[in-house]
Amino acid sequence: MEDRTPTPGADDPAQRRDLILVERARGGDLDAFNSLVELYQDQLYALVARMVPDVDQAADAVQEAFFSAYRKLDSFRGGSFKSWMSRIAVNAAMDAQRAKRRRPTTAYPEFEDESWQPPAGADDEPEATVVAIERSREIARALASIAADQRTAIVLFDVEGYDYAEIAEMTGVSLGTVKSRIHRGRLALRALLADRRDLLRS
Amino acid sequence: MTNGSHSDHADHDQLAVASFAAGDAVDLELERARQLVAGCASCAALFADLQALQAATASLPAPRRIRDFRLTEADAARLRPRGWRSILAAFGSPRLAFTQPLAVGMATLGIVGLLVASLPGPLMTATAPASDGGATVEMAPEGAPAGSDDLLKTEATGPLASAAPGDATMPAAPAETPSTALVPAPSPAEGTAAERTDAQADLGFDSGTRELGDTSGTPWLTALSALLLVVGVALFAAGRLARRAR
Repeated sequence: MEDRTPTPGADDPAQRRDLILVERARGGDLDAFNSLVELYQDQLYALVARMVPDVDQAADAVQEAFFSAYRKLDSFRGGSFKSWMSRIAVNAAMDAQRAKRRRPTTAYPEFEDESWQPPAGADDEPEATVVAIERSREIARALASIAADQRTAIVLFDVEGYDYAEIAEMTGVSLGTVKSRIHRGRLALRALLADRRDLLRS
Repeated sequence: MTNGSHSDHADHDQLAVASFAAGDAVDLELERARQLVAGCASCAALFADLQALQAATASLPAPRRIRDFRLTEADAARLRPRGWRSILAAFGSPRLAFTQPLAVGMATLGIVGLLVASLPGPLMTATAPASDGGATVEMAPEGAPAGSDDLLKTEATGPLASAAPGDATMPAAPAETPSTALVPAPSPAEGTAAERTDAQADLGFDSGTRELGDTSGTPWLTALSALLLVVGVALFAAGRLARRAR
């Protein structure tokens, strides 16, 4: 009897578009794969750059993630391409973190640039915008200073919106460890921002 | 509500408060965290800060991308090779990582095999296992005068057995000597050499009594060793090339 069970997520237009592009890329169509890169490179770079504070290392990790995805396209079994790609990117970021521990580099000079500044809305008051920029900068700086495994858990949970179970699966640790890393990470962030608590509450 | 002193707060379970702030605390931990937040001003401040921090972290702006990550044709050719390159690339994959130690092992065995095959006769005879039908020694009957015409005859029946020219005969040695200890001398009841040769022929063994020093029994070892060496080196080179290509 023919299986008429629809592919999970096949009704989602974005997912259907991704699956078509993946099929074409599997057939050797590089433009199709590059279309997927264009669709997801901003999100993946943002994810990895929060986990790996060194911008060059973060960029290398994202590039390596796309290389890895292209190499392993045949192992993609359907479902959400974005989730599959995010997992590869998180793995690449964790590899970069391990490499950074072995080979420490200059401590986060990238926070001096403007890439972490939130876009100013037309309706925002100048003072509020300045505070928001300052808060983002301070949190980013503190986030870069805490332990890599705590930072990864916080970024995946707070920023990317993954749940505990997904993070546990991505990072290869237990659910309890994920929770513990998030809680300890937040306590560490709070300690680092002890002098700037006004920013948190503003 | 009681205001806990700073020294009291240091003893408080801040992890329970963090868990409470995240909404993860249950049962006893939840109860303890509630009491701490209600009874200690510092714990209450910690609770408020953690909740504010959670909201602030979630609204962090996305870092701007600094590079374009699209793949070039060269990247694509390297990452998904076609034709013979795909076969070569397979050797560089982690799944076939075991081929590298395997290649080294095969090449080593090949070299050792070639060395053993090129050994001079006596060494080969000494190394030939008796169970392989190795060298057998015909002993003179007990009481025969030493140095008489009844000399030991070395008979090579196994593929590894060979002896150097000039070792064709040797004086009879007592049964306790190492050579006879390794290879027990047949008793008269075991039949004559001719009978044994017939039996070996029935069993499919090479029945001919070879000239000592004849290495015609080792070509298979030489061939096998050479094959191992070539395959091992080829496998190793393929793995190295594939990894370099990655």
